[in-house]
Amino acid sequence: MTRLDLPDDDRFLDLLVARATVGLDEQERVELGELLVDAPEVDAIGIELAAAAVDVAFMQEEPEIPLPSHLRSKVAAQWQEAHEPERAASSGQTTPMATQPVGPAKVLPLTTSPNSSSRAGTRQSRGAFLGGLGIAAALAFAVFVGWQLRQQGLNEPGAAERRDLLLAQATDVVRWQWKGLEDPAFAQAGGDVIWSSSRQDGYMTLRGLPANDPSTQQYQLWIVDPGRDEKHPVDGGVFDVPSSGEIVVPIAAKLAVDSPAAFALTLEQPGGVVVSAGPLLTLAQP
Amino acid sequence: MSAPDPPKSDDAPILPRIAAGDSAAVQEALDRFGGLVWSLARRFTRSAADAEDAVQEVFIAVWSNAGRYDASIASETTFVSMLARRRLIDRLRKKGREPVSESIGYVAEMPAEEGKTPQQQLEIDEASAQAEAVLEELRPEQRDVLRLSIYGGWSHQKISEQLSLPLGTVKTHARRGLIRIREQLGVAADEKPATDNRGDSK
Repeated sequence: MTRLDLPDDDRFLDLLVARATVGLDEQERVELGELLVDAPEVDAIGIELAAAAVDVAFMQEEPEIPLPSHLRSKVAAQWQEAHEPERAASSGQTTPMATQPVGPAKVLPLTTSPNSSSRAGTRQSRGAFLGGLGIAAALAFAVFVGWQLRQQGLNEPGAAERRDLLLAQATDVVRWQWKGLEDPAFAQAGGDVIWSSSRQDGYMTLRGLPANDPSTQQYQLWIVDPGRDEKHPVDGGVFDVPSSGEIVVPIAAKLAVDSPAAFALTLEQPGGVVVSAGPLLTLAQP
Repeated sequence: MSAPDPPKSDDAPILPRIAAGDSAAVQEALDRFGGLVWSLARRFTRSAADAEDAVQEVFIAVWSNAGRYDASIASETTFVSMLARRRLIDRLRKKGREPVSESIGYVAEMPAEEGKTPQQQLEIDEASAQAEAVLEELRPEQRDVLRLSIYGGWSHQKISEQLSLPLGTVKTHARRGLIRIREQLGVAADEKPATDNRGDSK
């Protein structure tokens, strides 16, 4: 493999060194993210690899403590739970990820439902959204896989860095706080959602959401856009919450969202649905 | 620090098997990298609970990025350590702290060290040998900067004050040292002599 070169620019290099040693503040992360976007051909991880090798070398001077057995079991169980859908796919129960085409964009065809009346007092858009939630087929698995892969970049800026970039560069970003709804398990839900209609790009920062078991349920984002059709929330993609810590998740809207009125999360079957039966778990709106 | 052994290649790469969904490889990864990640997490956190959360986050990152591992660039141990450090540094920055550099209370709660498996020891030796070779060549002052910066997690400003060095010198030592080690890692991967003296020319 041909090795990439480090950047010539001193500031660029300083930021790579800082990231590998003491970390970057938000402003520096934005700056480095911009540089990496503009220079995708540079070696973005070589310095970090070097720092890791040095760390391991220094660690030789101290005894290594084994991973506690209960923690080891927990980590192994997490992997097991997260990969059951993949094993199902590989055994023929699901179309292989690599070959399944990405289907057309999906929206939620909504109809009025009795369930909507109890929650309609907040906002019209939310009421309309709730009213239309029903059961439907799963989303194309490839959409989910592609979205996950986009979150895994190493040489590319991470989701948190791209979020910072969007905040720094876009002039039309809306930023709303997540709030838990009726379900007590989501009472501590927090974080925010940002969205730029001009760039059709957005990110969710999520805290306090219960971890999901990907083999049985995944979180799914819905975007209410009255400018399109208030009764047809746009599918914003599915994702997993591996722990109660903070995560940054890119929004993968399946249709253009020009004037979002609200963002909402539901828990759905693995891969997501095209029409949700709800309930809404968290909501972000002006 | 003793003279390093020559770098050894991985006999049985684990990460590609994890990327392929091999659950047995996950157990091997926990055997091989569990202690390493736990040691790093303990150093970067201040409580057992925080360390445990951090370890889980790190291994999620390892599983997610296993398919991106490239054996021609670094050893698996270095790659896993990089993922761990990135996650741990990010957690620290969010909490506005530096890593702990001394023993902390909860360490005593942990079980006594069990013997490392031969595989664990081999992996650690392999990952450290390339870096140690360069560290041995550095002046003590440069090596101290790398130790405090990377192992201690100190800010460059704090290192400057502690070692009575100009801040610019601290930054230069850190940068040159890391560039040299990066080149050494590349040499090990490519099995050819280094020709780039960029780190010393700045």
